[in-house]
Amino acid sequence: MNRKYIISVLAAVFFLNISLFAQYIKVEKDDKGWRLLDGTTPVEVKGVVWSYTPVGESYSYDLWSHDDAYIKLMIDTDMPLLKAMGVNTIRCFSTIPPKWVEYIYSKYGIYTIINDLLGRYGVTVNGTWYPSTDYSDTYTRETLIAEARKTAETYRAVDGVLMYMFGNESNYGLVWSGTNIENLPAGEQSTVKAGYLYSLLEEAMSACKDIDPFHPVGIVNGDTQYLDLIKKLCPSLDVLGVNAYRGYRFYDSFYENVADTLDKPVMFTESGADAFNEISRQEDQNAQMVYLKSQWQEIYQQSYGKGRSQNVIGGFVFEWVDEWWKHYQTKDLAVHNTEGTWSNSGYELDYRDGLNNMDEEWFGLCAQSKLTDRGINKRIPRAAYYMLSDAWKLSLYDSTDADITRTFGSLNTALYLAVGNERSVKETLNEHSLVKIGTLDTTVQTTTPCYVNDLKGSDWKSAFRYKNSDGAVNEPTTSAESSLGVTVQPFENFTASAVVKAWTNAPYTNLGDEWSCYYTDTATAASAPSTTLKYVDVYSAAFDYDTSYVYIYG
Amino acid sequence: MKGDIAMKKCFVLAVTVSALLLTSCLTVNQKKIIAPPYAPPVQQGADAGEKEKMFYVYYSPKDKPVIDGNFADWDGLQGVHARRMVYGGLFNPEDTDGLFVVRADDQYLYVYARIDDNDPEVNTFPAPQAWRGDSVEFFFGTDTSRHTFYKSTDHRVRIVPQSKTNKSAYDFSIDDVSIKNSDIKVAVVYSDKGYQIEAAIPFSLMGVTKLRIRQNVRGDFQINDADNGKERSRLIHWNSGKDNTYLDASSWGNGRVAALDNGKGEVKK
Repeated sequence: MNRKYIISVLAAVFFLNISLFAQYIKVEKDDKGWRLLDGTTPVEVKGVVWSYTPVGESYSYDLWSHDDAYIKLMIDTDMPLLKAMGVNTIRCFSTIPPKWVEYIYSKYGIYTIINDLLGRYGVTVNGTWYPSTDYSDTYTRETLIAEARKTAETYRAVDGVLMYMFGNESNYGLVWSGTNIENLPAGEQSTVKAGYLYSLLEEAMSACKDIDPFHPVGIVNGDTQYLDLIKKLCPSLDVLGVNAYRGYRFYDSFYENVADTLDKPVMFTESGADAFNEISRQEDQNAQMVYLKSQWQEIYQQSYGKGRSQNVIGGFVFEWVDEWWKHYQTKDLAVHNTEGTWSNSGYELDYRDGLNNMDEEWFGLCAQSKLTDRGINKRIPRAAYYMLSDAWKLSLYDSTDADITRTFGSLNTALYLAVGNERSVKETLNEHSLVKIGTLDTTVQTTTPCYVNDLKGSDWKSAFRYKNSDGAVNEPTTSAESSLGVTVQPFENFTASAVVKAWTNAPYTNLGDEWSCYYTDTATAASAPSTTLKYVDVYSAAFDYDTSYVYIYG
Repeated sequence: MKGDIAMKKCFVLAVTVSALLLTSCLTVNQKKIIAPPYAPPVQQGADAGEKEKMFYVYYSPKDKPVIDGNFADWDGLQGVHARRMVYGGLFNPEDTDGLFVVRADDQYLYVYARIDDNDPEVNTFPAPQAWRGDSVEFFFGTDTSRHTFYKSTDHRVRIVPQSKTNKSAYDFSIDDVSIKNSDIKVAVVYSDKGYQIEAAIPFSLMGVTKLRIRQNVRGDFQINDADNGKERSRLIHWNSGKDNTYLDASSWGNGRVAALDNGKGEVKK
């Protein structure tokens, strides 16, 4: 009796201890459908997959290995823009360290999904790197489960964690081979491999829940493939994350299949559209905007309290900024490639059979400029950014069909497009303005003596020539002078400028003398003015280099 | 003799050095495979038979099938069977099987599909997404050179049955664009065991000007099968073993234009 009592007290203290530090996030279903709650406050997931890889960097870029000042600068560049848009959650492919999860949450109120990729892009087992993860191997599974436990241990008391997700459309990556698989009939190999995957995902979710029972767990699945297997093998699942690219809509069957098979809430861990048209071969902000508008209208219609499947709790737009490394992965990193990477008929505005119409480097809600601001590539929001900023003002859970129709019907798409395109054009001009011509003018001065007394004569030419008593002849002269001012900004914070003048003759002063500064300086200048024109001279030159550490100018 | 011994020594030395080099590059890591957590239910697979080497386009300038939902015009013609499971388990004719036949005159390609399906369903998806439900696809091109993309002469036709009672209710698309055109004629007839489709497709929409006897062509045939009100669970081709026919024309199989005689089926190939 005493023993049981002590254990109960210890358990209570243990959970109380954790709950004092951790938020309690949960999914809940009532007669109006599924919702996500932080304590008792509903959380509608209006999210963005936060990408930040700078122009010129590859997939191996590690923001978190930089010093804190730079990390803070990156976060403080993006999060205000995200917050202004209405984003309340980010998902990120790298593991955001706990202190930055808390920073983002405390300063901007934005939650983070902790996404353990669980060997999706390879795994190191016993010191050996395997690019294709074999989910059927015990050692691999042990490694990955240990990783999942570590993830939960690390984040269980971190403020700002919304939930844990495992994998990333890992069902598309069942590529390992082995005799145990190859001996199966061809039609069964993928299903058996998927069985290994989902059983591992279940082990990871279960281990995570044991350590942190205060946050939901889920998986990131590729579309709705293998729903039956998920139902069979993943009892710990709280939220089904789905990466889905279906064009304008996901269709009723999408939500219905999840509801009928799993009866769990679904969240789009990725959806969206690229902003490049493979047919017109140019940026197409309108296409991206209309796809996203249609997708989100449907998400609202299928959410809590609308009388349909009522099982979607929100989603993440893929992605925040364009990533310039994606097409070739390791080369052309500073080139914004326009070659399509894959084909999808759902995106019919630029689809043709045989054409890769999905441009991986153009999925950003913001373009990235080559120009930087404090070392970070400038973000150029596209039309879809402005559209979602307005659309997301509508509550996902507490809206009616009429509200949705009214809100999405009144979105000013022409204005969003105009603003997005204007910013894009301006930035393009700026990018091509590394060398600017600040001054370019030409002055022509004509002087002529006029011998009035001779005007009545028949020789008009002689009226414009004057010979004084010393025999010096004054006759009409013409001089031209040009100024060219150039400013260069080869890199951020450095500016240099110079003005060069060129002339044909020295102009006259008001007193009829020539300006001596147009002539070369010679040793005899004091006694006898030079008569040699310089023709060209540097009029002025300056430079400045301004950083937070030093300001140099001259 | 001394030369032979020297040669042998050199050979042994070379083998030894090679073996040492080879083994120094090898790393052996132990694996321990667990039993499959999930085994698909034992399926009643069936023998799909040998795949037809090519499909024929039966050409006749005068004898044309009437597209009216009476499929007698196709009787006796040798078609090809779509039985190559791209995904969705083993081939089982009780789940899904398909026969496709192609004919032509000087203006139209005619396609016939007889699909055996234990759960035939109407398809409500719009053209670009209609592959998610019951539908058939026909790939056709006249350029027989190997190319791994689509040329202007390569086309995909998808026919989507949309009603079990109205045989004129269908969606017809070429290259994923729905086309309503009085020149296109389609008839769809459902039964408890599947559905049949016949269609007349104008040459002008397929980039064809004229077909001649013995002309080689390229093509493939596809069945999209969805059951129990869910999205596509089986994808079956005649030729390609991969889901790439919509992107890669080299995955298609060979076809040939053959003369259709009055007796139908006895053709000059």
